[in-house]
Amino acid sequence: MTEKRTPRRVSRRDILKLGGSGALLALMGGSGLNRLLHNDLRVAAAAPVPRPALQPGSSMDIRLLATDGWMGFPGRRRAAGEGIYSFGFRPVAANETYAKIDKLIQKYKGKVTWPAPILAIPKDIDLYIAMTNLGFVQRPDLDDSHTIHWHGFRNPNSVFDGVPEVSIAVPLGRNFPYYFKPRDEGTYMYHCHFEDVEHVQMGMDGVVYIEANTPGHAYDNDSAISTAFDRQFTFMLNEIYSHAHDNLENVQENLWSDYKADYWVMNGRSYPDTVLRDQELPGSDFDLGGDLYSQPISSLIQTNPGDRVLLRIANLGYEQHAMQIPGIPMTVVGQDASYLGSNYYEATTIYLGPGEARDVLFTAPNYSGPPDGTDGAGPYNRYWFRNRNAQRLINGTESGLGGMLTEVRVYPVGTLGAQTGPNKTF
Amino acid sequence: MMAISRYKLIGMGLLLGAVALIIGWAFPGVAIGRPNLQAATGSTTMECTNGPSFDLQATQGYIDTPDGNSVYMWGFALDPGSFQMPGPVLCVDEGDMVTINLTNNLNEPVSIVFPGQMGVTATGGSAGLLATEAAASGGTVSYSFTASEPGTYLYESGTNTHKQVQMGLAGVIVVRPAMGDNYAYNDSATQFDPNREYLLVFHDIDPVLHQAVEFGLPYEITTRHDRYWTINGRGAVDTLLDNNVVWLPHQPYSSLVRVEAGAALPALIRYANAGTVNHPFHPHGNTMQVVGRDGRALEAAALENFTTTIGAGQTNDLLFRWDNVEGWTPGPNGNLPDNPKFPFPNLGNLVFKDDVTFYSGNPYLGQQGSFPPGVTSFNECGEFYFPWHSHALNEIQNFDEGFGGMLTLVRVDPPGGCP
Repeated sequence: MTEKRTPRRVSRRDILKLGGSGALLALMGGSGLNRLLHNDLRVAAAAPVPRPALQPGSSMDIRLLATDGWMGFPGRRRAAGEGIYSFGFRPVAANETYAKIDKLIQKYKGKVTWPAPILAIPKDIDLYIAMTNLGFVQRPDLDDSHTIHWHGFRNPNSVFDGVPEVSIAVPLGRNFPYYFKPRDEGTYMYHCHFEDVEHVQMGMDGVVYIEANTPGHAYDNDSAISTAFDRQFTFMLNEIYSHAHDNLENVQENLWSDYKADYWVMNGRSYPDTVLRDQELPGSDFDLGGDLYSQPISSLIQTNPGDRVLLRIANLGYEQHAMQIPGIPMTVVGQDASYLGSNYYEATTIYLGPGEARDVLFTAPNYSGPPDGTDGAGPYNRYWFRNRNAQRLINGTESGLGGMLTEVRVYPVGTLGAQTGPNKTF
Repeated sequence: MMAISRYKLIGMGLLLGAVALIIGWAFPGVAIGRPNLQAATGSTTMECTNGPSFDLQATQGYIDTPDGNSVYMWGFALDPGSFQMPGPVLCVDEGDMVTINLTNNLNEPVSIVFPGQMGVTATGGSAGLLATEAAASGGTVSYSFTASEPGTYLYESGTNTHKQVQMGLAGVIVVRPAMGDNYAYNDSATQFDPNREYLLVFHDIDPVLHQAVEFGLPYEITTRHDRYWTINGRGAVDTLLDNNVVWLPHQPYSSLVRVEAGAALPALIRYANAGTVNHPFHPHGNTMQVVGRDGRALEAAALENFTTTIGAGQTNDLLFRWDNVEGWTPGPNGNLPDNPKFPFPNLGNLVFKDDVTFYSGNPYLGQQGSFPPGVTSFNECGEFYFPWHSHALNEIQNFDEGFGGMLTLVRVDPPGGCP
């Protein structure tokens, strides 16, 4: 937050000063690697490093925008002007992947979403996650840099590991492409590592998973215990220490060793917002104060009887969490993007610490009626996916059930069609 | 809302250390530090005190924290010797009859318990709740047991534990397996490079409680509020300094882990949580193979993870390696493909936090580049650095000063090491 360094800007004069054609080449598109290699523009570029041909379909470009905004929770509604101030990484529309920064600033600055988008990544591709730092509307004084750290990635290059003390950080108004070659399928998470005590709590985190090459499986070569699934849901578990968010919003010093959460959330929402279907979202525009427009990911688990449901659970809170689905036994098949094989285990309670991930499978029980409720998809039997620590089933000082809690809805046979993506609701 | 980083203080510390050495050489009569101060070894690996017989004392002293504070502690130390945190690393061989003679120089009774050891006997001292105690102010007791199982173990106070463990009375026992010092257990899958054996002991500290003990005020454990989180008694970035640096006379152990890319054998990392809360420890750079827990080999149940939550009082043995799988080496098949639509910016358009960095300036392992004016790099030969830290992120700070606390780095050298 106290980052005050003004990055050296490349002026027209700098460019004019360049004599060597190799260095000039380094300024032009297509030779960006030279910029990373020969960072000082006054150093003549060496022979350019040839770029391996990108096979069609083998490359994936993602654009994420770092900015600020407000989140809505029971008792802290945006529409009432009481939203909780947050930072985050938000996605762009597909046709804006290569948009110019000034255009993105105009459109998205101050319109953060949380958690960061679920990234579903095919195996063995060339992946570029370009992160653009748009800056903050509420704290223009806070010219923090940001980074993307892919938490758990094996054998990364340090320049793409996103730790500012040991590599680079992306200042205000700049864009940096993080490059990855995803090799190992499983569930990971990603987050900002710049002043991470603050930026992660403020909301700069999300789930990333690498898909197995075997369609419909969480892991390849899974003969020891099958990881086949019909539906999948990701869960980003967090706590909110709202006092810190309020301090940041109001330019106040915050003591992070006083950490004390008062909201407990999954995918950026606390119950009962967690069970809202995409089709039920109130509001549709930031400027209207639509409360959950900033928290677009539903945590509602909808399934047909007998379906195998995969839960990809990641914890980026600062507390350990004990998750249960009373009435439905769970099988843990993966941990920290590692296939457990014959060490798989059945569990009533999934216990995971900060920075840990689990791949959990369950088979949906039969629909037995009478229904426990009916939604737009039809009548359903309800189970709870909840934090066993009941003190975390609250929303701040509000009365009633809240917190890290959602529902598993089992509908009559054949009610739901095929899932089009993780956490998609019907 | 972080204050200035500690790098510059480390630089000053190096300077002060050099000055102290010069003074010590020029004026041999001037006492610098403690009389039994060891010379810095330039090493960061686990430093054993070899047994099987040990003379320990329970004593008091201060540790330095990177925010400029010093905290009153109690600790186990060699006898004769001076206060240190954590206690000496006691290394023995499987099957050894281990004897630990304790002299208590604190003003209340002290004992030692040995979680994971069986058949511990005590001579001398007087009966205590959990273990035989050495009386206050000079009392003694001797403990003996056979180190029957290889692995990593804690030894810690068994008296007034809510106070004495928090105050620092803990250390680690390493039992070497019969298969040899280059194995964690009697299991060929636990072979490691004996030159790359590292121990990380975790502790959490409420300085107000320590002050209460220092000044003889009531010790109210229910008010406990940790502000410091340490590895081997040091908060980051002091964790990166060598073993036995002269300006941390009571915190002798480094936490900097060093590996070489593509090494034939992995490094062995021993975790021991001597604190009283669980710590989710996350290594950047690669996943870990957890091969042992609480002094027992996991064997077929060994698991791979990217965060190990180490329970209070728990130990873990892990294998770590880093491989240059994508060939991050310049050459005709350079593996940093350019994306014309997302060009890499010039380093001058990026930020190096507080203008100091461990980055080499070049994305390829073993290569160095130049930096924008005003940036200082600690990189030696293009090696990579990755942080290892508690992912309860409120713990990676020194009383609210960031990039601190329960954090260290792993340094990945290019094959063959730095020239």
